[in-house]
Order: sequence, then C-alpha cells, then structure tokens
Amino acid sequence: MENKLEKLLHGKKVEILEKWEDTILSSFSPDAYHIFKKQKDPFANPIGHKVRTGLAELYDVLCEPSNKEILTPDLTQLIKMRAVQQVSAADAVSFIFKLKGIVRKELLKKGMAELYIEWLAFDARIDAAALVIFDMFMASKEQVYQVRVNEFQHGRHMITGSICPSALVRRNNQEAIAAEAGDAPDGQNVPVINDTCGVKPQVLQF
Amino acid sequence: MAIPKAAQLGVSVVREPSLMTGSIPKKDWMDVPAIFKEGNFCYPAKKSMVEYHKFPNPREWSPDQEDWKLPDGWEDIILNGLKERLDKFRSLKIFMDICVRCGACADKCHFFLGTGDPKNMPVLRAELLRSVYRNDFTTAGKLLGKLAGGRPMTVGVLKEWFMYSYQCTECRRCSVFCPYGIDTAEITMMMRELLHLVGVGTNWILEPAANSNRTGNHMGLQPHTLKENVEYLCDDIETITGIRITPTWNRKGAEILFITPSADVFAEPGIYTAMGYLLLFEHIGLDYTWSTYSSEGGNFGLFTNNEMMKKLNAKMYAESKRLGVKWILGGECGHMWRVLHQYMDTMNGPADHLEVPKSPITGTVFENAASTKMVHISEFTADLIKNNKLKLDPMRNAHRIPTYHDSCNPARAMGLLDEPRYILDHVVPKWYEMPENTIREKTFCCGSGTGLNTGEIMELRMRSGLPRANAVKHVVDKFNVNMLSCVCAIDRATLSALMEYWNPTVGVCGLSEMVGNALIMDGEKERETGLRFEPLEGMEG
Repeated sequence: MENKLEKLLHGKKVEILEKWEDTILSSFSPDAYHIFKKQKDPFANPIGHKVRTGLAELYDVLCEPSNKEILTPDLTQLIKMRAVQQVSAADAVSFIFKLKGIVRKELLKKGMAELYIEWLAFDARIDAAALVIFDMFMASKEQVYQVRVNEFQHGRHMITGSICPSALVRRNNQEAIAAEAGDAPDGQNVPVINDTCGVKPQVLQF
Repeated sequence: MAIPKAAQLGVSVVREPSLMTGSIPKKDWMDVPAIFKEGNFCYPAKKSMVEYHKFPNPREWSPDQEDWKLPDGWEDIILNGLKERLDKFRSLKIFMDICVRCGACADKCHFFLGTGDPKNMPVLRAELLRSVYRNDFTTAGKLLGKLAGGRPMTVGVLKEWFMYSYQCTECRRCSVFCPYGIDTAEITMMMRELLHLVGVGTNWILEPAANSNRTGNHMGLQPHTLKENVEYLCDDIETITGIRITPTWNRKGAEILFITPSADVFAEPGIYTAMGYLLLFEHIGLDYTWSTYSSEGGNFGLFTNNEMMKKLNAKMYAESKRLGVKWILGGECGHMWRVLHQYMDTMNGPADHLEVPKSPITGTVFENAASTKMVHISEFTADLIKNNKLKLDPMRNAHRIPTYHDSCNPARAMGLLDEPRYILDHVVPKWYEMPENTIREKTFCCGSGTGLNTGEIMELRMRSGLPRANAVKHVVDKFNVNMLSCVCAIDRATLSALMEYWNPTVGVCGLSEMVGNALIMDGEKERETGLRFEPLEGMEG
C-alpha cells in the first residue's frame, strides 16, 4: 500500500521531474540548454530526449518500492550519453543525489517534515540506485574501450596486410566447426571480429 | 521553437560549478579558450607526412602542448592565405558576407546536438573564421574591431580553428536549412586549408592522402596485395555460391573502369559489399576492369586542401584515358561522390576521352552523368532492376530487417535518394525508414567523416554520432531492425563502432552486399549462407 510520501511523489511527479531535468540540462551552455529544454521532437533533440525519458523511468522506479527488479533501458541510454561526455565521473552521475534536495524542497511545503521514516526509506532507495548507476556508468566506459579495441584490431589487420579479414572469418568458422566436433582449438589467439561487446540489460535491484 | 539570435549565442560553456573544476565560466564565446586534452583532438600529422606532401613547417608537436611551434610571421601567412582564397573563391567571399545570423542552422548540426558545445553550432563555427575576416577585410571591422564582431588573428583563435574545424564532418546538413544556402562545409574546408599553411593538420588525413598519392589507395596497398585480397573474396564467393569469378585488372580496352573505396577490398564489413559488386558484374556479364593505379574512391584531399583534392582525383580520369574505357562506374563511397559531382568536372575535366555513360545491359543513357562520365553503382543497379535484368530472391535477406542510412555526400551532394530505396524494395522482404527529419536530405551524419574516423577521439565520435544512433534506436525498438544499410565506406566502418556502443544488436552493411545475397546466379549451388557465411533462414544445410 502506498504511504503518504509515495502518494505525494506521484502527485508532484511533473514538477519534480521538470526541476530534475534542469540539473542535467543546465550543465550545458545557456544556448544549448534553451534548445535541449524546449525542443520536444526526440530526433531533433536526442540529449533532451534521453534526459527526459531516462529520468522519468528512474523516478518511477524510485517511487515504486514494491518492484524489486526493473529493466531500465531509457536510463541506460541516459548513462551511456553521460559516459561519453567531457565530464568527470562525479559530474556524470551526480544527478541522482540532486533528486533528494528537489524532493525535499517540493514536499516540505506540504508539511511532510515529520515523516522522517518514510524519508529515510526514500533516501536509501536513492543511495542504492546511485550505486547501480555508477556501475552502469562504468559499464558504458568499458564498452567505449572495447569499441576502440575492436576498431584497432580491424585497423591492425588492415595496416599489416598480413591477414585478410575474409580469411580470418573463414578461419574462425573452421575453428567453430572444429570446436563443435569436439576437436581442441589449435591454441592460436584469434580475435573475434564480430564481437559486438553489448552491455547486458541493466537492472535496478533493491 | 524559438531559435536563438546571434546575441544569445554562446555565453559560456558550463553554467553550474563543475565538481571537476569548481569554476563557472560565464564569458563571451570569444573569450572561452579551446582546451586540448587527450581524447578531444586528432593526433597531429607526423613530421615525415608533412614533409612527404611538401607542406610547410614539418615538426614534432602536439595540440595539448602550449607551444605549437608555429613559423615566424604565421599571422601574416594565415591572413595572406585568407586574402588569396577570398579572391580565388567567390563562394567564400559570399559566405563571409551574407550570413545574417538567423540561427536556422544552430540546432541542426550533429556535433552540436551531441556535445551541446555552442561553438559547434554551424553559425558560431563559421564565426570563428568570419570574425577574423571582419577584423581584417571589412571597413567596419577595421574601424570598430570587436564592436563590429571582429577579432585579430591570435594563437587562441588558431587553436579554436583547429578544435572546431575538426569537429565538423563537412556533412552539410546545416546548409539544407540555411535560407541563404551557405555551405558551411566549405567554410570548414577553408579553415583546414589555412591551418595547413602553418603546419597544423592531422595524421589520420595526411597519411592516407600520402598513401593514395604513392600507391593509389589509403592503406598503401601495393598492386599485388590489392589483387590478392580480391582473390580471397572470390574464394569466399566460390565457397558460398559455387561460382568462380575471375575479375580483370588494369585491362586496356575494357568498356568500363570500376573504382570503389579501397576499404571495400580489405576491411569489414566493406568486403561483403565488394563481394556483392563481384557477383553483380558476373551476373550481367559486364565488360569491366579494376585498376591498381586508381584503386581508391575516397579522396582525403577533400579534407586537406583543394590542390590535394585535385591531384588525387586526377588519377581517375588519367587511368580511364590510359585504359581506353568508355566510362567509369563508381562503388559505394561517400565523399568520392561529393568530389566527383561538385568539383571533378571543373578541376580535372572535361573528360572528353570518355563517352556519356550508357548501360550495356539495358541501353539506358545516364544523362545525369553526361559531363562527369561516372555513374553510381546504385543508379546502375536500380536501372538493372527496373529493366528486369536481375534474378533476385529477396528471401535470402529474410534474416535481416534493415533500415537505410542516407550517407551524407551521396544524399546531399548528388541527390542519390530514391535509387537505394528502390534497390532495397527488391532485395529484402521488409525494411523500415527512420524518422522523416533524420533521412534523405536531412540525414544525420555518422559523426566520423572527413578524416575523424580515428580511435583517439572515440568518445567524441560517440557524441557526434548520437543523433544518428538515436534515430536507429527508434526503428530497432519499433520494428526490430537489425541492420543499418548505407552506401559509404566510412559509414560502414564508423557506423559499426557507433552501433556497437549505442545499438549493439544492429549490424552495418553496404547495399550491394544485400544485392549479392539476393542474386540468383546461373549455375550456382544451393545457397545455405549469406556472404558473411551466416546461415540463411530456412536454408540451413
């Protein structure tokens, strides 16, 4: 059953999300902020769109204590976006903690100060989410490194001209067939060209 | 939505205190310096590369060092270079004068949309050059300086030019929205040209340009390697289809010279596109030849300066003349088509030794190429399909649900919009368009063109490619799209990296790969796999 704080979190969702979005978007220049905030077409404004949908998804998770494990594809996209921007790791994930201040300010007006047990529970959820978000951030960073390595491997084959990628694919296939037939691999360290190094769907757990 | 006016543009880079620096820059854009840090710049050209091209000021240097070791009197070199170009290119003079800073381009650049950096708004990027132009070449600027939007040429300005002319892929999306038709790409081209005058350039551009000049292609593959690589592809084709193809090289008297990006011959996933070409030409019995001398469709001269572009491009006509072919067929390349369609004719034409291209299979005369004498493989293929000259089984691509990325240059610089779509309609059971404002003339760049496809700026590439990746994600979520098709070699390489990061379930392919998959070859064995040796749905052995 919904407690009093959760009821108010739902009721004030629009106002809180609006302010929360600002904590990320205002880190851009005023011109960029203006465009990222106002342009509602997701394709003309991918950053604004990812901030909006990612935070809305996370907000729902935080306001819904009954859900123990929730897939958060939009939040994952938001973190991926932050992971490739020129900001420190702290800057990139600090938005989660800023929610505490926004929610307090919004709800203190409603005379909710005495519900400290509910506050503590909500804070704990934010803290738990912060840890998961930092993991997601690191996963995204590692993914960039992997993309870079994969590209380098391609480049290396091309530059040395020693192994045609086509021949390499053939060799990989032969090895896969051999492995299926139970033969031991030949021990050569052959890079897998088509490794897409996808990040697994991120899950928020409490 | 409201579009910011000039006065609103670029006040600061960060408004809130950064946890990293604690500072809150609130300066005018002119006063915010470009800071170079590992990861936000392409590595500078090696001394040996600068020497090879006989460019000025060869030396060891790095953008993140304070001293760029510029030559004495470099300011005059730049200003004289600008004067020379203003006199030579009327377009540049016009672009410098007519912009009214309406802001229509401001939110159209993928670099701006992915970074939020106001200096990546095309109008402001152009202001980096325009401010110097005003200061030294207009009366108002000479008298009023900063009040008239002018500023003197300083090291800081030069560093800004380097930073932002290499955060522009010359994709020309902004130009589509400019009411005056200003080609901002040409402004970037001019800034890069001017930087080369004082020895400021990147290695990833100058080295491929040197290789192209010396051996005919970006990777410097020598003739025997090039030929061998194509033979490997023919081996694979034989394994997959049972058909042995033996293409000819440097053959005098062939009807058609075929030129494609060299990446199609040695890099994934371009090699599958090349296998598609080989199958197509075999299917129709085309009288054509490959060339080892003109073995590169790409032209990194376009990203360097106009003389280099002309020099590298000249190989195409020279080789077609030497071999005595009738016309040239071009593969799936991006900027090759910009050079070809917009500059080749006046730079190295008229190609009077060639004939107006006429398909030997359908008899279609390609009037659109009457002057350049060079036809795009998609135009050629679409015409073959239209005239029922190809036996196709689209079900061989049933394991793919593609979308189509309009590669910037073919789309915006030569208007190749419908032919690729027509081909897709016939070679794959189903495919889906991305949203309207991200395709055709309004297509978003891969984010890594113009020589920015280098590993040291991977995060930047992931930012600048975000608008494209975002549109792809939409069709992935909505239609389960699993393949991003395109007609550009740089796209094939860079979109692969972009998809690995943003949409890991999506592969990248050239259009001709899917044509090759679908072609029913005379005398072929039963196909069990596609050109990537991937099992075909319902046809597993």
